[in-house]
Amino acid sequence: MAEKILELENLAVSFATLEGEVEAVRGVDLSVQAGEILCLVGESGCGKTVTCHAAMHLLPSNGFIKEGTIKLCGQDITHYGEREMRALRGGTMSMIFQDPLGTLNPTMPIGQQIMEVLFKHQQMTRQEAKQRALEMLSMVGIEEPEARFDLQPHFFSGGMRQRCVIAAALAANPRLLFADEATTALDVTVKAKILDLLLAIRRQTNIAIVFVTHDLGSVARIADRVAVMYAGRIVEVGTAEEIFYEPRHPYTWGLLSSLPAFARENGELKYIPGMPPSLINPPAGDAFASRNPYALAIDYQKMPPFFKLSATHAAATWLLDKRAPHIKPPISMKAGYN
Amino acid sequence: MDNAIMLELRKVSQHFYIHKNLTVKAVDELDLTIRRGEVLGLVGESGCGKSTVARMIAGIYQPTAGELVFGGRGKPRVQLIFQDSAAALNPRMSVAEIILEPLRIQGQDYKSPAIRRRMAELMEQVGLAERLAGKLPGELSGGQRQRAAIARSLMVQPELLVADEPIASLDISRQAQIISLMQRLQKAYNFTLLFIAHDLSVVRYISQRTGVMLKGKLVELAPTEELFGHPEHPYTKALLSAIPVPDPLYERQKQILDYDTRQPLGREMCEKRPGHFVRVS
Repeated sequence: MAEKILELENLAVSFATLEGEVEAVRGVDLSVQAGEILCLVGESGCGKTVTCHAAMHLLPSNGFIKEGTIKLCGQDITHYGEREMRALRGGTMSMIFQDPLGTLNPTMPIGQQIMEVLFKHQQMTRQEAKQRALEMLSMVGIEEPEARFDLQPHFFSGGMRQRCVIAAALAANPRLLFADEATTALDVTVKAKILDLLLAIRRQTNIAIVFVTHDLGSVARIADRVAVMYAGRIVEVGTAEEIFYEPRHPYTWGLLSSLPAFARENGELKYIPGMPPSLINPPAGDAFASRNPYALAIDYQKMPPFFKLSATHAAATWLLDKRAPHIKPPISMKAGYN
Repeated sequence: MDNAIMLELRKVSQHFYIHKNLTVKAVDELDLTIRRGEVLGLVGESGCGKSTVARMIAGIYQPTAGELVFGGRGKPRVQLIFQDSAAALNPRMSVAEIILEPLRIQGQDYKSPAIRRRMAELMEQVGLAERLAGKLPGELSGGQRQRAAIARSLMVQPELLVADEPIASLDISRQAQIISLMQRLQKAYNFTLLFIAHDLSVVRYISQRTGVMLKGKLVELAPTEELFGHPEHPYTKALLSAIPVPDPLYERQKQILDYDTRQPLGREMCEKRPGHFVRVS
């Protein structure tokens, strides 16, 4: 049994706004093991980013953890203060974002930005830190790191900048990395290289990665497990094979069938009608019911529990209750259909 | 599709002069033929010049060299749809004013009941509820704004619609809606569609012919399934191998090909198979 790096238990996060309390995350259970890549997928506003920010204690001032616990390497960090979190961020846990320019200091040479992390988290001398920073740069695939060590971020292309961000995020040997839409803004060939870089780093360092994205193609390339989120809850979780080849939640069906790659095989491009519900006073039952063509009467009244389908696969839909009518999944992705 | 030529780009270039030592060749001696009624996809990575091509076709930029030659029916009515719908729509105009604006600019009687009926019909076709007519763009979602932009472009019955990354800034579930909407409208009105995107799977789904651009030039142009099934140019092969597909077992064993963009692209386009052009040295 591999070590559990991150465990979220019944995590609920809300934001206080003038319109009322926005229940952005509503009871998320999730765990990630060492060496595992977990992808969080869903539409914008489903709570995937907020879940990561809550785990890093990076919520904006009007956001708060309402319920639940966050454990990092077995330690409960739910009520850690800013000083304790600072020791963890960039040390044990790290995060990379969509926009590398927003993360990097535009006036500071790249090498120095990586050394900063090392000075903070690992009591290194200047010499050692520089050595480690150079190693990191070559690990993320930056050629001639010595020559580029003293360049500011604007000398680098978008893909190179994201590599520098990854180097800085991983410099202090974290156990857990959150990657929030880290490849979304990149071109396809660059995106493929960054995904492969993350896979290589995982092999070398056994780091756990939580990869947030709405690009299901990237998910297929790197995910060991996938959690599908909708309206602040996880609606289906399973291995990548289970989610792509045997999806059981109608929302997962909707997401997969809106992919052009799938539509080519099956004629028409499908899409999920309507909009996600407001999370100020969210609906009592299944939040997806109003957009779900397979919704049952009970979906409008009662939140579905998780139905276990295998040791790794579970979905929260009343369709899996033994009293529900049997519905054949409208999509059946097969391996190698490409 | 009657195969008649609508528009031909002949050795068209767009060179931007930055300062005395630097000229950016955004588009460089590009040859491209657009046929009446077809859906032509144009793909490439950022900076390859695809948006510049869109702007030259729409007449926003004048080519610095080369010429645009029109087919038998003369200069087509062109409309352009942009990626960022928030920036493309006037934030102080209501949806109705936005949709009617092209007619107002053209000096037509945009207040006539016939035009009003046509606007209501178009709004329904693009899936905008009638009650949204009085709303400002800021009150709409990204998908709704893109629908308004599409309705506006159709108001003047374009013969050629140039869509420059129309779905890149939309959420996943909205992307599929806008693509199938554009496809439906193209069939209903039979306009020619130039669809520009970096997402190759979308282009593969919607277009009949696809062109691949690199460094301001076309490197390959072919019927879409032919291009995706039998790519010839090494850059096309590399690009196609990089598209992630939603199939984990396939993705995990897939090899991504490398292409060094510093190598020469090849001098001219050559027809390898009927309709399949590849740049060769």
